[in-house]
Amino acid sequence: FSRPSAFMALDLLQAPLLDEKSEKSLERAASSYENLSECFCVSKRAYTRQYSHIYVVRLMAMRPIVEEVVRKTWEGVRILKLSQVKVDVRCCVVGTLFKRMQLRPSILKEVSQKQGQATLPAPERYISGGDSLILEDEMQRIPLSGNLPVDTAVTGTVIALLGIQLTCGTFEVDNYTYCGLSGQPSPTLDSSLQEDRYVLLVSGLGIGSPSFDALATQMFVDTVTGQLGGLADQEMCSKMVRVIIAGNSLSPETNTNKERRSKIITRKIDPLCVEAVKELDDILTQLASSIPVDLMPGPNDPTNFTLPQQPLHRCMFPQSVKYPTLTGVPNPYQCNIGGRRFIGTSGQSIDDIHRFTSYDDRMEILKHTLMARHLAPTAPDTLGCYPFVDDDPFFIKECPAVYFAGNQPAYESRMITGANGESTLLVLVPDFCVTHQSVLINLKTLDCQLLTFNTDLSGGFQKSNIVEPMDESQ
Amino acid sequence: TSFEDILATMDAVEEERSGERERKTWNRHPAPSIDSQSDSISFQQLDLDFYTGQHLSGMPGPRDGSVAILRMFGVTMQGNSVVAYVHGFAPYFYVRAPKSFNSDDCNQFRLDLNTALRRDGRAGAWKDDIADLVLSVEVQMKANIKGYQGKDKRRFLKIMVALPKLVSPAKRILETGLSVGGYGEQNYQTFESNIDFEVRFMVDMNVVGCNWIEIPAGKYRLRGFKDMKSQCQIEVDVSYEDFVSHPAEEEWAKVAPLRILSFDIECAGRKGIFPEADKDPVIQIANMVIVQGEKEPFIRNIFCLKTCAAVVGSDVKSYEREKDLLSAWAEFVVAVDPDVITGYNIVNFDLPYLLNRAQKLQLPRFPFLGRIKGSKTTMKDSTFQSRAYGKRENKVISIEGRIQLDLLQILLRDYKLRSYTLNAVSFHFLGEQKEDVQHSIITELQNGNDQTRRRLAVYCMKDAFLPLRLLEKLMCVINYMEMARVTGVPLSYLLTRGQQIKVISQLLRKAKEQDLLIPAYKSEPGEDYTGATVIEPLKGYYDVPIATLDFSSLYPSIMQAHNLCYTTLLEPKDLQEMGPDEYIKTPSGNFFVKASVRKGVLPEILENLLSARKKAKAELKEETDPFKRKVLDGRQLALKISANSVYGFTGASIGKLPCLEISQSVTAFGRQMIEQSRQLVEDHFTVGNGYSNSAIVIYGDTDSVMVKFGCTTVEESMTLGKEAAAHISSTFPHPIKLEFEKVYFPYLLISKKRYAGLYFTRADRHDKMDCKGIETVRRDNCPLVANLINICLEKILIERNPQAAASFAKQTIADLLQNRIDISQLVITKELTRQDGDYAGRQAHVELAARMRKRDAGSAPALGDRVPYVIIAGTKGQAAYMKSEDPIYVLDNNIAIDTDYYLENQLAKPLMRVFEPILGKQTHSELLKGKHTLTKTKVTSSVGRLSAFAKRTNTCVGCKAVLKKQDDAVCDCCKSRESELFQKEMVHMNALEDKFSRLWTQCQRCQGSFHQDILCTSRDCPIFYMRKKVQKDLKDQDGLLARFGPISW
Repeated sequence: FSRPSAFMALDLLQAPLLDEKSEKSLERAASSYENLSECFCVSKRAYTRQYSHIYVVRLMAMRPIVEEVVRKTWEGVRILKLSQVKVDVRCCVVGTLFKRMQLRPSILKEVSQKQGQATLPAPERYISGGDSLILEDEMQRIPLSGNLPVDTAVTGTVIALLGIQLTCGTFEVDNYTYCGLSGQPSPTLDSSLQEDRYVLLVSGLGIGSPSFDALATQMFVDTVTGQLGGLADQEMCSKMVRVIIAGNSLSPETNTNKERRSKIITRKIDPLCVEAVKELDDILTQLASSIPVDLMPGPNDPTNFTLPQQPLHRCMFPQSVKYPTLTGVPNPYQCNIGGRRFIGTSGQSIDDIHRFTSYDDRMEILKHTLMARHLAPTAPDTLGCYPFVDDDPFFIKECPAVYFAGNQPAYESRMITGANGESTLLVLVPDFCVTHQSVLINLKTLDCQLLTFNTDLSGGFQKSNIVEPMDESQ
Repeated sequence: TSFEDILATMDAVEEERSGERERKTWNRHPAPSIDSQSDSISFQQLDLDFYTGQHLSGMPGPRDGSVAILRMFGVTMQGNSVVAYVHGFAPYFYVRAPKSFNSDDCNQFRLDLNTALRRDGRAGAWKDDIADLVLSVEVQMKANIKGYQGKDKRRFLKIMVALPKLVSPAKRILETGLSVGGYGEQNYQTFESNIDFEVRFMVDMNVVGCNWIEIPAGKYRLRGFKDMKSQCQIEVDVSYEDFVSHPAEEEWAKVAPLRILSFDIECAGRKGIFPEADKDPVIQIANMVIVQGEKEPFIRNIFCLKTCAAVVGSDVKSYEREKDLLSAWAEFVVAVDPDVITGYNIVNFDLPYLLNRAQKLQLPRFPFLGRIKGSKTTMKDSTFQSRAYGKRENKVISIEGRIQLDLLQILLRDYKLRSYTLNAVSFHFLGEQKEDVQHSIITELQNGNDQTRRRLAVYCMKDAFLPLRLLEKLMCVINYMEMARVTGVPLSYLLTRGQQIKVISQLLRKAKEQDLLIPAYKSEPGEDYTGATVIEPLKGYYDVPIATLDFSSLYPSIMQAHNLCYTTLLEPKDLQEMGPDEYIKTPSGNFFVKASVRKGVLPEILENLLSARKKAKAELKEETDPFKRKVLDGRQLALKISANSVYGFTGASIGKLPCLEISQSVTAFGRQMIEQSRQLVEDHFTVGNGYSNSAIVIYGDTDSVMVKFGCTTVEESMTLGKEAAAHISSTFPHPIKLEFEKVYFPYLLISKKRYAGLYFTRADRHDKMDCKGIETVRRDNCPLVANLINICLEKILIERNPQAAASFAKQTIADLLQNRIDISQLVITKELTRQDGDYAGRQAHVELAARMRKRDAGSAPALGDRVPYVIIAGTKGQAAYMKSEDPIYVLDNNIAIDTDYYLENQLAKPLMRVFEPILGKQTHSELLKGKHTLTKTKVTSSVGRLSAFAKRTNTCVGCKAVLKKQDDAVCDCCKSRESELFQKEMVHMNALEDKFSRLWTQCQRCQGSFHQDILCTSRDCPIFYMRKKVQKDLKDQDGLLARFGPISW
């Protein structure tokens, strides 16, 4: 795919080879695979618990790590619990960050809103000038001021702050740090990775959307399954070892829950997604007949609401489920492919942070979550989340090789490296339904390429390949 | 935003350490040194009382024995507290002088009354101490206020006695008969013998509540430190003749920097029992002290039993022993010297609890919270009855010199709310939910560690802070002060007394000017005269503009226009002496002289009130200073309320001076005027007179008429309305005025006093949806009623789509019958006010409380708690009160709701009322018996007699057929639809999870802590039951989905 498209056209135009035997039959390459998403599957669900536990376990898990960072960066500083902090004494405190926001939506307001007051459409973003920050540990909280950007701070992240408590009671911050990148065991790479091996990431097929482009989707399927493109393309495709569908296979239009936030009634209503699910079953059948496919759910897909979203249920895919190559996986999803650790989400956590901060650059958000070592810091506060008790599965224990987020407005990738040689490829997987793009990752080199399926017939039939510059070190 | 965060961001409080430092932060600034010969003293007088003491030399009044000394407590503009002892003012009253009585007989009269009093058993123990019980008897020319007297004045005896307590026995003696000198035994009618001594003083000295008192230099004696009897910083002695009382105008309308203390206590109760002062300790007392007009309290502290971790922005004081805690708090109160003490239900809970607790712990020095040294704070029960407020049992706590403004009492008086818990109230007015922690959890937190006690402390301090915010938001202090100034009564009367005292105070002031006397009327319960004046409504739904014409201040203006008063009332027998032009006959057949003969006192009072209101409103328009605006707005409101209460005063049979001739004439005039207005409108606005349509009056209420002019736009209707108002007003005597106020469009007229409409005061858009007499705030209904009616009205009035409203109502009824309504919508709440046996009939909430006690005494509602309940499906014919059940229990055990009860007893009537004008006769059959009511969902309860035997069988999710394999989701026939059926259930699961996460994170934000479990059990909170219900629903839904097979691949 690295050749210019002109050559490709030549390939396509060449006459069929007459000699049957000389036609190369391509074998699909394989790499080792290990599903590591056990922690995201909640089989016995209990809803009697509250959300306090997840914050406590999060803080307990991350405190030693961030305290280690503190000891390295700010030598000799005393690390105190909030209840031990004294006025005018410089110290370091560790806790969970909260942003107090005036515009944050509130179910209480919705429920008790007097009838007749028009409900304003939800704003795209909830930040406002009056936002302020608070740090909370297991026992108490303290308002913050000083050197800490309010607009880009993310609720729910564990942070260490250096500063002093003022007489007025606020904590004046001089400096701050997150857990940062750390802990990436050196990968034991598969022998298959001596050659190029690819993993394809796609998200947002958007079946059921008015803008759904059946042709583009079919081109995508045919390319992956090796039925489209020239010999070289096919050869390249044969090195594709896995497809990860990162959520939103269905479009928001098929989501029935949007209009049902009525305050008096919770009734069961007929789902709008039935037809779209059938269509998805067809597409999956084609794909899975040729290549291992991991199907992640996204916010628009018919599974549960809260993170982690559970795999889409087998019973919805009577055809494709027959292929052992198809695997329903949760969101977030974690696996080892050829020895490379992948972690990714269908993008809700990034979208949520985007709504509650002033970040415009989603790559920055993705990076921030990695530096803060948490897949979804705003869960449970503004992002629906299962009430975990013993474990916060969103805590990123090990620095992955690839960290992706699906359903983003535009493709972007970036390689970042840590002080101890950690390196992670960050990928924003674009929304396929809008962009007709998917992302190909070379497992051997961790190079990343964009596949665009252009169906604009006026420009002729073409398949453009873009190679992104890599190795943006941080 | 959590309270802790607010607290932390307030201005720093000086850290209160022990001893000297502490005193400095708490105490007021020291008073400046005063030279009594050259400095005058001015203070805003806030409280006024009297005590019996000894004569002070140099002051007027009898020299021997006990005398009454008045105390005026107040604050100077510099914020120093003052008490002025006023000497020489003695109580008095009047009787009619016997015929041919002359001034020479006065002394004999005095002596004879004196002797009679001395003999009287009930005249008290002062007899021996006081030389003259009756100080003087004097002939004065006065007139009875009641009945037209011509220009004649008659001879009355002004009888002055030594002490206020002697007035009542003297009155009794004179009324039952006294033989004086040569006049033989006579019964005397007494006048003004039932007036409070303080009111008497204020009237005579032109003192009104909360006005400024100035004592000129050289006219007072400043008390030296060792003579000071109070906690006030300045104490002066002054003769009653030597101070100046400034009317609350211009410069003297200002408000002194009052100190307001708000506090709240927490007690460690035992499980299931409301805290009792003789058993359960006080564990925390939170205090907030603010200076009136400032933004933040400058003292924020909490007194805790046992250690408590620090709370940023406030001062935490820990005590090992409860005795020390209480003593320290009492010292705190004295040191802070607040002018106003507030809190939520302090009068009936916190203060009595503290006083009882101190007694139990034997703290003899605790109950001295007032300003007078050595005067013990006492408490007694009182029953207060008033037509406006009903019967109330209250505690009366004596804290001299400090005003008790209990916010709960203010709200009970001035606002009609669904619930009066602090939580509900703060949500209603401030839009904030307050964490509500159960009694039993309070004890657990207290028994935990310093961090759990800290949590409790934050909660407690919020309860002390909220009353201050509410006082500020509702402008209580300013409004009450203005009411005291306008009506002339002491501030404290406004919360402890009824409406009448305010009218009496004004009437006395006016009567005094004109030498009129108010007879001491012996009140006898009789029929109150309240005449509603209504034109029969032409019920219906009007999709055309309806103009509303209102008589502004109808009753006051009638009294003014027709000169209706005690002083102008003519007996039929007096008529012969009058010329035909000199009096009128009212429509109720009573006679009053015209203003040209004698202007009435009541009309004059009303004129003053209304012109003062006009003035206040004019000044309000000009004023830019926000604080002064508040004062003026409070004043104009007080004036309006006062003007309207005059009519009520004349009609109250249990009153100081009822006069049915006046009140029935007023209502009769009102009725006549409404009728006349209708005639005028319908005669004038006709097609014959060139109008495009003939007008019809569709309804007339007490002081308004609703006119359908037949035009189609709001604008036309407004023009015609204004024209009609001007036309009709011109036919009535001054100052009666009919005003055009608003247009309703559309308008739903249900019945008398019940209507709803979209309210327009300008042509381009509506101001609001206005509902009268419709179930939107009724407290004994479940919220579903109000919500449903509201939505329906909206659809009818705003969307103008009655059909959509009807189908919405039907859908909701279907949802109800199919058990899909959120249980929080079905909860009915009643307060458990008395023991079981005390209720005459059996009541649902009382029965439930009794049953809950049997189930678990720990969580059962105690006396004074509000009991929420739902009506569950019981056995056939079971009385509704036996079918009440705890909503939580219902959720936990999956108990079926009696949906028919809710449809028939809760929804049916209000719905019928709203829809009858629209759907007509078939309303009942269509709305309440239609197709949508045929499907009902049966719920299988997990408790009950039969449930132990019932075996739950799983049915197919698709067709409800009983499954062969119980663990499956669908039967063989539905297998092909499995994907679709699964998706339906999953979509529901998805919605429930969304709700779950939004509800429980909301509670975290409200409590202001994320790492700690939510303890709040506020049943007033709109999401309390929701969050419980969603847990339950999720469990069920998860179980159902599990039957589709494991999720893992």
